[in-house]
Amino acid sequence: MEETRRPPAVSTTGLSKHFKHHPALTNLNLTVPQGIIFALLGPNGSGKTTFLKLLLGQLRPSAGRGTCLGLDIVTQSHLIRQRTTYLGEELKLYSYMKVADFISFCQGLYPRWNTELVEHYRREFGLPLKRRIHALSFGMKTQLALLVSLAPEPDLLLLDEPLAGLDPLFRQRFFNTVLAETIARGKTVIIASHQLNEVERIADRAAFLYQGRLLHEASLAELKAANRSIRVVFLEEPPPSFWQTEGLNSVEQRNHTYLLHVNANFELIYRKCQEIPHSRLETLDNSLEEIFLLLLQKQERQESQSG
Amino acid sequence: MAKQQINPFLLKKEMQENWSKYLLCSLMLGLTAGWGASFYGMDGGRYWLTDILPFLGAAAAIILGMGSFSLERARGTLLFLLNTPLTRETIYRTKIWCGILLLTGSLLVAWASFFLAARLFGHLSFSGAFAAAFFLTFLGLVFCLQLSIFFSVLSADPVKASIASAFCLFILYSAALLEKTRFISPFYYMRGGTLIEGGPFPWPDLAVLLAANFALYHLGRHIWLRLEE
Repeated sequence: MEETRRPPAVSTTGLSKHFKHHPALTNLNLTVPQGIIFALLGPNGSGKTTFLKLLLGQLRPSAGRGTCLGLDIVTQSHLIRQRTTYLGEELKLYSYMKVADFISFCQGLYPRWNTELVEHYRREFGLPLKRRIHALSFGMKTQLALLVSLAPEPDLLLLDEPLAGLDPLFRQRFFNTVLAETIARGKTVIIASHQLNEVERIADRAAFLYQGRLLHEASLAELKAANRSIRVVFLEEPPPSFWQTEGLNSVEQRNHTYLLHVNANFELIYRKCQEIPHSRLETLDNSLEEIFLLLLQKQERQESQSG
Repeated sequence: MAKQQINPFLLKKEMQENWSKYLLCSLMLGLTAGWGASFYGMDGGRYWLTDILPFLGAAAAIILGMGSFSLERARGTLLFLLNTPLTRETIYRTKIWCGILLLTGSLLVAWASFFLAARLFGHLSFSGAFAAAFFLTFLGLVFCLQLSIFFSVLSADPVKASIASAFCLFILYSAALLEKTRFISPFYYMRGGTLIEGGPFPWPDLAVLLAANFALYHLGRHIWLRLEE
């Protein structure tokens, strides 16, 4: 019952942002429930950072509206930022400050601050309190930024390509420990990334953005179930009607081997494949990257059909 | 957390960042004040107050205000601040007040230096008219500081911001020297020369300086609140 009363972490209706004549985000309708890891996926320039900046009130929408934790993103952005923290790819901290001074400076900016959590992660990351920030390695700076993002105990943690350039060990620790602990406390995490394979292991739901438009949004389980492939070696050419079957998204062919990408009617298409003489028939689970490319192909086909 | 007018932690950070600029300005103003008082007595004091202080004070205002926003923007820390619960209003007020406090501190050093030197050389005792004229100069220099911060709001480059404010203040300083244009210049109103010579308190000058400061504060605030980073 408690869960049903919680407003969505993010809800947008027709949210758009144009820079002069360039549309950075167009008509975004998106709802992110609380308590999950939500992946915002897309190539560079697809509108991920613009979306996060709109949530934090750094940018004003050109059209549409949105709420974050039940608060309006235009009129209540400072209240949103009391409960939301942001960790971006480009870390710019006050390099002349000592680690301890920077932590206490940040403490003064937030209404909530969990000093035990700070100490916990500071020890875990091995951050030296007396060292100046400019003397820290890139990885340590990221860890410090992460630490001050977690210390206010945000209800919503926004991560914008947060681990770019970090070593695999820390990335693994981040995903397995830090994010897991954050979610265990009932918080919501939105992680924007173009490294699809990285978030595939951890995200509950995902949205694909391309050129500022939402291509698709679903849970990872739904995405995987709805976007599968069949590898088949036909001994005879399938009838023309086979290729018209609804749900057959695209086909790759090499000699007699076909790779059929299916986004609907999977059972029907699989059965039809069985009915055609074949020497090999197997189903493949697509990775998020493959799903994204398939969605992109579908979008491009629809656009070319509509003129 | 209610909306704060000034954030004490941000104010402390601003003070720390600008401490060396404050020392430089205090040294510059303090030394010239001592020089003005020691060599020429009351006349030297008047000369320092009406001609040297507005010029050097404006330079100090540029130094103290130029990096206020543009330096944060140039090094990328402005986005860090904007992602915290601080409102744009709080950031603007805190930065303005930090500048005013540091400028006040530098002028107090100059004031103390002036009177110490004057007393040492036996030239003059405390004068109420001098203090009132000094106050008018202070208001004029707050205008100069706000102008410097205004250009800092507009630019991502502290050097460009300082050149723009220096150019603008040079135009205003030059305008104060000419009969036909002096009425548009804060440098004309901030001198308080007639006050030292025994004239009445120039209430219109005070009103103009207060109005100019008020208008510039709100113009800068208006632009800052509407910016997108």
